[in-house]
Amino acid sequence: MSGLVLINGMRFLVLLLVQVLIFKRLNPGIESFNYLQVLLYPLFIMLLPLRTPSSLVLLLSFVLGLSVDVFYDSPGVHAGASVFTGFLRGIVLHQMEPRGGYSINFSPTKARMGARRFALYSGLLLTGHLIFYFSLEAFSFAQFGALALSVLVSAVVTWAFIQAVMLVFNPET
Amino acid sequence: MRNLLEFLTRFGTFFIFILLEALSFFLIVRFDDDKNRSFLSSASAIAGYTLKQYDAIVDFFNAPREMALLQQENKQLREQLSSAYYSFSAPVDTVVEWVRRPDSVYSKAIRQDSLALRDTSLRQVYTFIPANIISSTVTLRHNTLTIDKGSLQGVAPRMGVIGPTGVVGVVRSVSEHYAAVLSVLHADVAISASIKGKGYFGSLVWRGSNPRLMYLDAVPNHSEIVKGDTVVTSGFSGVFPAGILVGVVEYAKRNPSTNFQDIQVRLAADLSKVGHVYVVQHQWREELNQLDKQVKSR
Repeated sequence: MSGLVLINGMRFLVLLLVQVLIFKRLNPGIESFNYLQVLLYPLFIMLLPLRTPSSLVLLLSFVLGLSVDVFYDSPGVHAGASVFTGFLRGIVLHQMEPRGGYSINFSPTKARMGARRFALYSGLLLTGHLIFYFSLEAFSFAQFGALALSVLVSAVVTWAFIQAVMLVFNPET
Repeated sequence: MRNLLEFLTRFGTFFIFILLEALSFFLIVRFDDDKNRSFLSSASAIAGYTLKQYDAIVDFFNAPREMALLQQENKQLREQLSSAYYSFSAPVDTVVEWVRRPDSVYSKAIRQDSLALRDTSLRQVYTFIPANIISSTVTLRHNTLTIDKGSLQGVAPRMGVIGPTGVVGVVRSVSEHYAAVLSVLHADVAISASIKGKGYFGSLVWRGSNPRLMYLDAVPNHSEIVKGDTVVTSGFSGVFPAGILVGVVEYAKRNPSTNFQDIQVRLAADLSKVGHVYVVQHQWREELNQLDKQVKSR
């Protein structure tokens, strides 16, 4: 139990730092193509153990999002998107429940879910997160084309990053 | 009571979800009103410290490029020193004229003459606080920078920030050691700018997508503006001195439907490459702000 808390605490810190120090600076440098944002930190929300109380998932998501916001100078934007992802996580996990149900100690990782199911799971949550994020950032749906393009480009690239991270570390919990 | 408890356990998660989303929205909306807060911004002590430590590592790799940029700026400034000029005429004292017409070529020449005279009727109005950018973005719709100087060094909200190649942004919030700056590439920032040598002025805004292109709004249709005109700050608001380079007109077309021209400006500064900046301090800032408030409260 305390091991789980420690692992997730470390994950929180590392993903936060990687996000605000490295991915925040990432700039593809292609003029007039300003649509890519790599948001790796939702991986923390995805990987929380299944038995985490859903209200705690929401609360942790909020804290993580707000911490990212502090560095991005956008209070509320990442927090709102993260809380949405935390909420979406419960629904997606419920929909993807295997016939026999989950075991008590289940964690939604690639090692436990299998590569294909995890790819789908992370893809769904990530797309939800990015749609919510880009809508909040623009604070209007006026430029729908730009919004859709941002979500698409960012989702594909970030998704690839997430799969790569899971391939390298492949955590059980 | 029991019913309420039952309701909460059943809908608790959804309730918390709505609550946290409401809180997020509140933060988004409220932050735009309250510009003097450093809490929850990258200028806060922990965030500022973290960014600075990391920037110290990255800076090592950027140093040669930074130095070339600063050297170029030094060259331009040296060429403006009075000792770099030969005076043909007896200097004239035309400070009033200079204040009134900051952008014309004619007045600039006289300004240099009067500087050569060490005219006692000139007062220093702008001073500059050197600072390092420790973090910045150019790819968002609301781009910001964090600098490593704060209220202890005299930085205050609404001060302008300029780089070696032109305008960079406006300070939003400060802590003791750090300041969060709104980049000119931020949807909420508008800068008063004018066309060098022509006197027309307008409001410079960014509309997302391209970090090198801005729009100059509110320039009337009758003004003569062509591609290649230089755009500089107007100096009206006291945020920036007059005549700081902004960029070059890339596209200008009259728009009969609005009576204002559509003008695109290519920024002189590549904001993703700027590392060292100056915070612009206006000596009579308080006075200006107070006048501003009086006018707005009417």
